Amino acid sequence: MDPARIGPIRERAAEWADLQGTQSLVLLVARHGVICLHEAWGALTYRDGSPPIGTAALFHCSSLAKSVTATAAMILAEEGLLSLTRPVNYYIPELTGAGTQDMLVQQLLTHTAGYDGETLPDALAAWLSEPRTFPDCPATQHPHLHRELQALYPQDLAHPPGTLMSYCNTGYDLLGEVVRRVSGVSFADFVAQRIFVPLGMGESFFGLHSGQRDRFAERDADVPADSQFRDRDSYRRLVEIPFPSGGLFATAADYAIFAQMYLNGGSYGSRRILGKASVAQMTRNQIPGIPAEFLGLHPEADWGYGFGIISDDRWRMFDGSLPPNGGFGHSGLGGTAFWVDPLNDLIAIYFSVCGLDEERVEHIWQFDLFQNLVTAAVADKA
Amino acid sequence: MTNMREGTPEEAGFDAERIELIRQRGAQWAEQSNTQGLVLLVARNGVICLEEAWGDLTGEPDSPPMNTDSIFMLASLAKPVTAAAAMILVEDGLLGLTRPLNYYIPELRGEGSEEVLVQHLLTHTAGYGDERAIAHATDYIMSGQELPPCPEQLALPIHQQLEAYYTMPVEPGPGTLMVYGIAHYVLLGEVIRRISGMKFEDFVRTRLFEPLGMRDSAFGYDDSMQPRFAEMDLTNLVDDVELAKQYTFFAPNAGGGLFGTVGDYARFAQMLANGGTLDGQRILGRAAVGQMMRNQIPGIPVDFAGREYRGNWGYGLMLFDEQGWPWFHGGLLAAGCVSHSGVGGPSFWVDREQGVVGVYFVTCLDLDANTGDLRWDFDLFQNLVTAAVID
Repeated sequence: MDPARIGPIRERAAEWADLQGTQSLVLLVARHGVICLHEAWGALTYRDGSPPIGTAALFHCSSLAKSVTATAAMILAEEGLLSLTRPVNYYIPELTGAGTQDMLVQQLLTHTAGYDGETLPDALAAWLSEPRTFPDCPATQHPHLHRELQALYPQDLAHPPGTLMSYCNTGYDLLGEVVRRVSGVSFADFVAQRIFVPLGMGESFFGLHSGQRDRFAERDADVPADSQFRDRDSYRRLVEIPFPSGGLFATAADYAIFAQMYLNGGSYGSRRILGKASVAQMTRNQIPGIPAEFLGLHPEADWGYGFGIISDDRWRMFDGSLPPNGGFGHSGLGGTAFWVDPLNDLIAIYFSVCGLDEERVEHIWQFDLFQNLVTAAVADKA
Repeated sequence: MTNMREGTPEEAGFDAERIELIRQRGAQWAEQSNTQGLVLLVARNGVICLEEAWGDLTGEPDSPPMNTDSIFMLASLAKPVTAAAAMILVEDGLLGLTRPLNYYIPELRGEGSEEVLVQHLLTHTAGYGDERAIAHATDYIMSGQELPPCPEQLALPIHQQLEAYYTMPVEPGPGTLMVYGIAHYVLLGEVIRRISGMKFEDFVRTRLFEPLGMRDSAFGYDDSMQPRFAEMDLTNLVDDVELAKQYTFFAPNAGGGLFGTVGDYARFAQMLANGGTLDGQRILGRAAVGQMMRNQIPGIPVDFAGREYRGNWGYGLMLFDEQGWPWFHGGLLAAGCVSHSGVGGPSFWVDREQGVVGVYFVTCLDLDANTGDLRWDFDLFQNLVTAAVID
């Protein structure tokens, strides 16, 4: 990396941390496996007298969880325990909603199962607001997720599977349930045993425990945001739930190991998590020709298995302009994001706690600018 | 990293006889009745093997001869420079191309303008095409309505047209159709001014012209240029010559107000050909230059002065595919070459693969790029140079 271009990243980061709406910020950049930037700015929490943040802070990674959940599914696929082209109801027979019999596992991975991601949460809440009886929560499942899944099973699809990408959190919770049933252990345990422990990601957890709160970059849930973060009490309970769709808590350094594993083609150090074929399938566009409905219609969704794929269509306020096509990554509600750039052999992590501009429905974040700064710092060989 | 220097055709990688043929053609082209004067420059891998002038500097009877250091009114050759200036801010993490334009210019209030992203300005796909924009700005300025005070960093004609563009409805929706329009780049210049906190022309001078050693280049006409200025009669090229000079060509207009010499522009072009660096100076990185030079309008149709075209465009650069743009491409350049032209004919191209830079500065009195009726030789010049490349 060009040493002269690392300074501007630090300067911008300090400016961003000063901006109203950015509470906490940790950045990590590594090229050829060498970390050339790993720094923190801002406060740890929203509270008066909050300690300054350090690089060891735990962030609510939100949807960056989905890349991990997808990894879990692929591990089972590699072991011959899961087929992506089988219908989801092969693994979860309780699905009864209209159209769900045609829903395939791979469509959960690409958000093309047919659920309407925007209206589904309200439908689930409405179902749960009525008196219901359903089976007891299995020992390896979390009660909140169990209830959410019970509400999901009778829901009709909004679209035929495989026709439209509609970003859907619950679809990944359903995928996590597939992982639980096929593996026989809790989703959080499976991920810990098969991904976090082998990779040495000791600071990554699905569901936050009370002992971790002192290093948690906690947001003020009174800040206008998505309906999930309704108020501080709701948020405090929410973070304890190991949502496969968004309940991941990790440090930037840990997530960088995970990203580097993908850059390496599936292994890190002496541990192989996935084979090259799986990584190739996950990090290419699996839904060519299928559009995405997200703040307007994108003719090509460009999504892999657990990752968005960087392509010609650079999304408003999300995408930088300089990273080359073929990169892949994910972003998370509340201000987390990362990407892998195979062409330049680099990974970069942007963990922040930032606000949402409700009017624009946009993060008040600078991830797009960060992508440009980092890519501009890539140095040629002389 | 290629340093620019003079050399022989052989040193540059050209067939010497074919370079000599270009000299013959240059003399012939200068004799055509609609061409006042002409300067050509050919370089490969940073070695300039031809830099020559023919004809007269101006249309006056006592005009001195055209010279290789004559200063041309470069009009839209401003746009690649403005695009590069924007990319400098992108690399600095100060400008996001996927951000809405109203993030940087909150006064933007024309109908539909909330959908305009900064990247749409670079590709003329925001909806501020020339015909509509010029009509709108003329009406707005002539209406005599009171405008906010002119900022100290803006020339009044630029301020006036900006205020007009802020109210202009975009048509059609951003990102759906390319309609070439200077307003796109005037707005981009204003974004650069606001982010940098400097006059646009000062930003370009300090971040581009000075590091690149482009000593004879500037936005906006200055009287000091007069002795070397290749002045031409614009009567046949624009409707109102005085207004055109005041608002566009002689103003520090980010879309059309550049002045310079072939040698200077060749340095800018060579920087692009090198992937962002020249003579040890890094202006941009490879990724930024790469984005400037790739097709940023895939699948988007083009309306070029009322005609439907199919063509590629980068950020601030015309981009050739296998067939190129009619009149602008001679047929021999391979896909991936980039180019731009301006009113009156000044043009350049970069062939990254072959390392070739060609600069064609001409004062053509009957040139009207808008109608496609081009009485110039830029396409022929490309063919001559491309045919001279030897390995």
